Amino acid sequence: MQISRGGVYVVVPAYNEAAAVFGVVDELRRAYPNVIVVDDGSRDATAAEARRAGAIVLRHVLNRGQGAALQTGIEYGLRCGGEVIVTFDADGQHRVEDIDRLLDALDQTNADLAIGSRFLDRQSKVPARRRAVLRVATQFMRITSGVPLTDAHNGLRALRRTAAEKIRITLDGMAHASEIVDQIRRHQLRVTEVPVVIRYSEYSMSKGQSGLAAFRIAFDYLFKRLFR
Amino acid sequence: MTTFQLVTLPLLAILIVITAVATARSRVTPRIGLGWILLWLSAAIAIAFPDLLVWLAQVLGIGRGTDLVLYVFILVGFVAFFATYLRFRRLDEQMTKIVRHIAIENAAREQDAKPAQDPRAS
Repeated sequence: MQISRGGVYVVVPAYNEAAAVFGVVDELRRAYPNVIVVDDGSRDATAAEARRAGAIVLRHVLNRGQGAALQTGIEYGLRCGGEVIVTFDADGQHRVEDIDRLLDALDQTNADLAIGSRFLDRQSKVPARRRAVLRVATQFMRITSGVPLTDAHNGLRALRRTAAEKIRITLDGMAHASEIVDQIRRHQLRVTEVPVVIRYSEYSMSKGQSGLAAFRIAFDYLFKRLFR
Repeated sequence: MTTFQLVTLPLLAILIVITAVATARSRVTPRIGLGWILLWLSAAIAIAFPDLLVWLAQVLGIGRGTDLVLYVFILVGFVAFFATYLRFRRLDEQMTKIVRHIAIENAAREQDAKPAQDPRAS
């Protein structure tokens, strides 16, 4: 692996994740020392827990949504001189070793960014309803953006500095995933997909999006496309 | 003059005066003040000369004057709703920028305060 671990900044957006964030950051830091947790206006001890685990903690004084938190963390990672910015969810659904695979993919393919997909192999045990919603969302994304990815809303990504500088998330809520794909096309970034495993726990499911939220996400995204 | 006119016309006159005074004292911008005065004035004219409204409605191919008022009202309502929505979104964007700025500035200051703990040395 050519990318040095010290040049990697892992951005973890977290909202009321006090129960999980310490474990996630602690595990991350064993492999990647630079972890940026963006506490998105949590009302619990998320910030303190993240700090205790050794993360750089950025605090949104008001809850602004996951997209907003990601953009904040990415900007800070760039400011710290990160060569690669990784986005990683705070609820423990991602595996740290999958970051290695994303970075390897960046190295081998010379891509600008690598995105995780839970549908490239059969390792993730995706619940049936979630699978159905994601299938629709992925088709929607393919049609609207024209980028042929297989997983619409995977929170695990690795962006080279050049890509992270170009991508600007303006949708504060959950529609940022579609927005990123949109900007991949607009900036003609080279993207590669990597099979990753999503661990569905009771905890991560309780924190996840409901099927109904998909409509809101789609609306936010389409609105942005119409009135940019 | 009908009772309705007796009640509403003086009320509109008062509103016009209030708006004019507010505009003169720069409480609102001239453009907005003028817009509201025009609105009050057209309402007063429509109430004072209802036949005018009926005539206008018929010119436009709508049966009754009240229907015309209803349609215009609904249309204006939707435009206002949409404008408010856009404004709300813009405010949201601005708020995010402020929140982000505070978060980044605070973190940068914190890190500058303890450069010994720079985690980049790995």
